[in-house]
Formats: sequence, C-alpha cells, structure tokens
Amino acid sequence: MGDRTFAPSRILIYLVVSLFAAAYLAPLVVVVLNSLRTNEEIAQASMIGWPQQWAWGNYATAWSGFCVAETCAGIRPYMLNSALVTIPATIFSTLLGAVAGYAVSLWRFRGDSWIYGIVTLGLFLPQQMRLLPWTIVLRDIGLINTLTGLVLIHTIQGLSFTTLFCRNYYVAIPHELIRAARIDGAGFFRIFWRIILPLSSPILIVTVIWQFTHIWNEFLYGVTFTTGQQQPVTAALIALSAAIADIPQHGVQSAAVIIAALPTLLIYLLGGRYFVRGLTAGAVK
Amino acid sequence: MTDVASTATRPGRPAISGVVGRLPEYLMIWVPLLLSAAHLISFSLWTIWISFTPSTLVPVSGWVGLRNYNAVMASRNWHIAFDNLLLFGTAFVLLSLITGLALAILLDQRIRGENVLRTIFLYPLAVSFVVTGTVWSWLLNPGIGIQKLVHDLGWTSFRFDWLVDRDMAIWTIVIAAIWQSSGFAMALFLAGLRSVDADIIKAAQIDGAGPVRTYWRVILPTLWPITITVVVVQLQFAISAFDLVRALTNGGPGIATQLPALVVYDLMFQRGQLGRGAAAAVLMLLILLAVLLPYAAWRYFQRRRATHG
Amino acid sequence: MVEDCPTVDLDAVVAAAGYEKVVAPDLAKLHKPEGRWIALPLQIYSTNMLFLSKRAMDKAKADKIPVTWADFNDLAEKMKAGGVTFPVANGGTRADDGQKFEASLAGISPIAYRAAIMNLDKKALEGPEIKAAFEQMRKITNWMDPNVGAQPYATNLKRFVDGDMGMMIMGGWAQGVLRNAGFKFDDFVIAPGPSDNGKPVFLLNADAFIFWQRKEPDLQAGQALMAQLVMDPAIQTMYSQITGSIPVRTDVDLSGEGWSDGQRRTAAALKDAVANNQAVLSLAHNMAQENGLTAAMIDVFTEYVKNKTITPDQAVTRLAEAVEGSR
Repeated sequence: MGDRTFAPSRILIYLVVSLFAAAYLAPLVVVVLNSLRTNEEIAQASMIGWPQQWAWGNYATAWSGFCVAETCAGIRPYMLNSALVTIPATIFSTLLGAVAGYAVSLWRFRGDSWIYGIVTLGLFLPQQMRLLPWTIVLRDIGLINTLTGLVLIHTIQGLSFTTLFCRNYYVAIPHELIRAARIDGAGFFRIFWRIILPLSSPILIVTVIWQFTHIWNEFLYGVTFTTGQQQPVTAALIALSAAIADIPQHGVQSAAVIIAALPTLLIYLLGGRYFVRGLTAGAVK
Repeated sequence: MTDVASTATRPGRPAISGVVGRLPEYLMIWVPLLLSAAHLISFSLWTIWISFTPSTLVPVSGWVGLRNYNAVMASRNWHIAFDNLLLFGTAFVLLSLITGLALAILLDQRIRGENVLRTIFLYPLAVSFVVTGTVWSWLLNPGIGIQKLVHDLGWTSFRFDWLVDRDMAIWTIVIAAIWQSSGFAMALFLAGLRSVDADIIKAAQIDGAGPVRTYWRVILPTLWPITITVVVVQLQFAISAFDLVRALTNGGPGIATQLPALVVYDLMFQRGQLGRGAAAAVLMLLILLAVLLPYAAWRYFQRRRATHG
Repeated sequence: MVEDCPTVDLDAVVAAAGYEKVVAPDLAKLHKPEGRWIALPLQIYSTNMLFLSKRAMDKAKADKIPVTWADFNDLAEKMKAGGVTFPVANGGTRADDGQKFEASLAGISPIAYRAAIMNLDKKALEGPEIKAAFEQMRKITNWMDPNVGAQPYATNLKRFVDGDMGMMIMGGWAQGVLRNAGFKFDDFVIAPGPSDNGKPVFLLNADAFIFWQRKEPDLQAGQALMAQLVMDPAIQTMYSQITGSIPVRTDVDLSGEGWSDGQRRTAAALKDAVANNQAVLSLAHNMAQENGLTAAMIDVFTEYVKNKTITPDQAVTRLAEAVEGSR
C-alpha cells in the first residue's frame, strides 16, 4: 500500500528507518571501535570515539591475558566453560525434546496431555522458584560448582521449550503415515528414526538455535551454582566489570564483550530465518 | 491438545512380554518428561514450603506462618522493587510495543534492503542481557559515555546522567531493554501485517481510504491478538528481569533500581535469609500469575469461540 | 551457603605456635566462634586508611596529614579552594559506601562503633555519635564527583594521583592497586584514617582460611601444613608485600626493604589501636555482623550517599529500623 514512487513520503520513510537502524547499530559499533582503542586513549577521551592507533592487542589480552578475580588467563577458560555447558545441554535437550514431542503428539499414551501440560508450565515458572531446590539437589548429588551440574539443569529445564517446539511441529504430520507404519509392524523408535526424524530438520534447527542462544546467554544459574574458574562467560563478564581491584581497562573489556557475544551473534547471522521462527514459536505458546 | 483423530492410535494395554521389549521406549518417553514435570512441581512446592519456615542460612523445618511475607513486604527493598516493576513494566512494554509496531509498519512499505534492516533490528536479541547491560552501562555512564563525549565536543552544560540519578536510573534499564527486545515485537507485528487479507486492504482502498486510514481502521485492529501476546511475553520478561539490571546498575544508585528478581537473589544468596528469599520468590510468582491467568483465560475463550463459533 | 559442614579444631596447632598472643583480640575472637579456632587469618587491612594525593596537597599548599575529622574537613576545603575539583576520590560501590560510614563513626568514637555496630546496642544505635557520623558522611559525599555513581574507587585513581581529586578513605589494598597501575610511592601518602581522639582507629578486615573437615588423610596432612604456613611470619610477609596489607602477626618487623611507609604506619596503628582498645571489626567487609544484617545496614548507607535529601536524623531512624527489620 502507499505509493511506490519516490514521493517525499518515501524519503521520509527511508530517513526514519535509517535513523532507527543507526540507533540499533550504535552500541555494537561503539564497542567494536573501543575494542580497538588503547585503554589509555579511552581513559583520556570517552567510550565513544575513533581509534587513534589500532590496538589489536586488546583481543589477545582479552582472550588469554587479563585477570578476572585472582586468575589471569583472560576469558578463554570461561568461553570454554560456556561451550562445555552449552553444547551438550543443547544436544541433550533437543534430542529428548524431539522424542518427547513425538511421543505426546503422535504416539498418544495414557496421561500424555497431563504430563505435557505440566511440562509446558516450565515456560512460565520463574527461575527464582527453582534456585534453592537446585542448590540442594546439586549439592546432594555432588554436582555443585561443576559444569555437569549446569548441563543437567539446562537439559531438564530446556525440555519445556524443546518438547513444545517439537510437539507443535509434529502434530501437523498426518496420522495416517504413522498408522500405516504401525500396521507394517514398525515400533516406536523405528518410526521415529525412519519417518519422523527425516521430516524434522527445520524444527531441529530452530530448537538447536533457540537452546544454544539461551544457554549461552544464561547468567542466573551460572552465577548461582558456579564460582571462580568454573563460571560460564556471562558470569565472568560481570566479575570482570566488578573487579574493583583494578583500574578499568575499557579497551580490553570491550574486546572481551565482543568475544563473549560472538558465538550467538554468528549463529544469528547464519541462521537468522530459523532464529526468528524460534522467537515466534516460543511466543505463541 | 486433545486430538480426536489420534485416539485411534493409542496403544491398547500391552501384554506382559511386550512390556519388557518396549522398556527402552517407555524409558525414553517417561524419564525425561517425568523428570521435567516432577522437578517443576516438587521445586515449586518446596520453595513455597520454605517460605513458611524460619530458614535463614540453611533450610530448616518449622512453621512461621506469614512472617517471612510480612518481613519482605515491609522492607524498603521490596517496596522500591515493586514500584520499579510497575514503572519499568509499563514503560518498557508500552514503548517496546510502539517501537516494534512502528518498525514493522515501516518495514512493511516494500522498502529496499528490508532483509538487512530486519537483521539490524533483531540482532540485539541474540546478545545476552549481560552484554547488553555492560555495554549500556558504559554508554550511559556520564563520566565516560555519551555525556562525556558531548562535553568533549564543547557543549559542557549538557547533562545525561540518568545512570547516577536515583530518580531516573530505572529509565536506563528501560532504554537498554527496549534496545534489546523491541525487535521481538517488530518480528511478530511484521508477521501479523503480512498475514492481513489483501482483499480487505483492497476493499478499503477502493472505498477511498488513504494509507493512514487503512492502517488505523482496517489493518491494526487485526493485530490485537499479536499485541496481547507481545504484552504478555514482555511482561513476563519484565517481572523476572535480573541479568540486565545486574549488569547495568546492579540495583543502584543506592538501591534505586531494585527489582523483585534482585531482591530474591540477594535474600537467598547474599543475606542468608532463605525463608524471606523464598517468600519473595513466591510473591514474584503471584505477580506473574496476575498477568498469566487472565491471558490463559482469554486464550481459552478465544479457542472455544474458534471451535464452536 | 554454609551448610552443616564441620570444621577442623585448630586449637592445638595454634597453641603450639603460640599464635594467639600475637593476634588482635577481636580478630582472634572472630575466628573462634565457639571458643575454638576454626579459621586462620592470613593478612590484615584497615578499611579506613587515608590516602592523600601529593599533587592535590601541593595545590592546597598543605603538608600536614590530617589527624581528626576536623583536620580532614579543613584540608578538603583548602583543596577545593586550591583548585582540586573533587577533594574526595572514593567510589560508590556498596562496600565503599559502607566504608564511608564506618570510617566516620569509628573515627568519631570507636566506643560507639563497638556498641552500636558490633554489639547492636539499641541505645547506641540511636545515639548522638551515629548522627554525627551521618553528618560527617554527608560532608564526604558532597566533596565527591557526582558522576561516580556505583563505580569502584579504582576508576578514580588516575585523577587522584593527578591531583584532580584529593583524598581517599580506602583499605590498604588500594596501595597494591596503585602500585600495580604503575604509580609511585611519591605520588601519594598513606596514613591512619581520621580519629577525633587523636589515637589511631583500626577497622579490621582480614583475609582468612576456613578449615573444613576432610576425611581424606592426604588432605588432612595438607591442612596441617597449610595451618603452619598461614601462621608463618615469612609467608605473611611475602603476602603482605605483594598486596599492600599488613601481617596478622603483630610481631613482624616492618622496618626492612619491601615495606612502604604506609604499611609501617598501618602496622603501628594496629599496635596502638589494640593497646587503646580502638581496633574494631569492619562492617562494610562483613567482619562485624552476619551477612543479612550487614546488607540491611549498608542499604541505609548507600541510599544515604546517593540521596542527599535524606537528613542525618532520618538516616539514624532508618538504620535502627533496618537492624530491627532484619533480626
């Protein structure tokens, strides 16, 4: 609708859109530029500015040099922690969610709608209601302050989302397909493996992207259940900016922020379409 | 959820021998689902129970009635957190709705570079709240951020010091939250705009309605369901906002930007007052239910109307 | 969360080393909660050391180190008049705001500090010294950069050394940070925090090791060795020389190489303060009270710092309420 020639109204639209785009990009641009300025340069001017001399060394320092709390190994160990939590938890929760979604949508069993209903309540229950119980559980099974503990939490809690995503996708698969396979004598896993999984790649990509982004970006559990060297990178960033024992190194800190944000940003840029689908699927519960 | 067609595939009562053979599938189905359901129920009940006990550093049994709730609700921290939540929730949801809708309408004008623009408006959603909060804490810090830049440029009377102004600090969280997640509203609205029936629009145009009138009278009214979804999702975020505040203001200056989630964490893990922390968590849940229950009821009636109407 | 983890009884080790008589009494009491040693402090800081910027002193044409709060306030005014933009260089974190209060109160009256903050005596909590402390604290905050917000003090160190800011009330650890950042001992002076009775007041903050009971024999052996090491004067010396703290042992000689004048003054202050019963435990660093009470009190201080419309009288009331409310 509207006219499609270059009337003044079109120019206005482009102008407004460009202003918005600039506002959304500005923080990223500022941080990228800062990550290439020396700490001294930032201290003398402000956080916003063009690099006078390119300080590529900030990235090396951020990656493996500067100190968080008492340890001086950069954010590399924390990035590794995040990866060691995020990757397994994403795989487990997605696979288990796919099986569960398949079971509740196509392989109806006694009590399935009840249990499905309860599991999806997990989408709404605030994390604060689960913090203390998780503390007790993790302590009792000896997983407090371990990456395994975080994997367990994210797997179990992720099930709410992954089951919902997959179930909503699988209900659209014609039941006749399943019925015919069952008459041929195919069992639960065979049907899943042969019929369902080959149809699932779109929803699995959506689920993996969603889970990866959420677990990578998660902070509350990381900061509550792990300390020091076991923390994921989100918690380490907070520890870094709260490191009162040091004169701020904004150049290096900016580089650290960029590195920490990079995995999810890359996933977003590469799988944008699926990312957006996850957003809308997650919203329309 | 109950699907009439699928009841035909419900397996009958399996024979005993069949049960053993099908054990793996039962395990695969039931163990994860039961673990998930069981943790949700037992964790909630346990936290609710703790909120009625005199637990401080460690969980203990005992019954103190509503004492923890009274203590939390009488505390300045909770008062401030609750007032902030009302302000932050309202401002953030309204402004992000407006921003998201504006962006969606602009993008809906068949403009060049729509894909690039959409990518730009949505990328903040891929970034963690910790990163968002940290970056905005630099930009909004008067000593090193925007204000300092403007001063260095020569306009020395310029003031933009909300981050250190206890009355305005909550707005810095609104700004960062809108930057982070108005793209979400945009994505949903855009999808809604694109699904409006082209015939209705054409009919309106034939009637002589200009673009503004068409939007206002014809297109926007169809977006109500999406608007409600966006509001509920954003409110849910606002109620449990933690990371963003932790990274941006950490509840300060002073305790001016406390929010319920921070109070809960603080009571549980910093002040060693588990009972009160649990009570605050339950209060958070109640606030959330006040938003979600009407939404669930609305959804229920909508669906009933759709199937019966 | 501190669960019901049993701790090691260190009484025998401590007695064998003759350690108790070289440790400040309040500190010893803190590490033997039920009369038995369960933890060993390694190094000590005083949270109320006064750091003076040499350049700011030059601007103020002052060379006398302030002893009382009145001296401090005079010097701040002189600095202001001499062109120092902000006479006080402190940050605005919760701990920092807590330190401003404890330094004020302990400097005005260590007796009132002990009664009100450490023993939570109701009368003392509403006493005139508390109000005076809030009044002093208001002066301190008025001399600070309003843009500091909740930033750590370290943000300001460069401006402090440059003489753009004048004084800082901070723990001895700031010496380590200043040195680490490449500043020299001639750039600043460290002295005991203001004390109205002229004798040093020491706000104790110690880093300690808690000894949890372990079943494994090799870990038990390790703990025994650890306890020996923590009490060892040589180890304490090594630690303190790096961090800028002073040793827990009051019998370590600080006259040699590797110690700063600031550390010597701090150690002398501790000795003096212990002798005059003016060594008290820091609230802002969780030494004086359990976490819940500490946090509730710091809420009051940090709000008071950031909200200049709160009067000292209101603050006194709020402090008493906060203590009452979190018990």
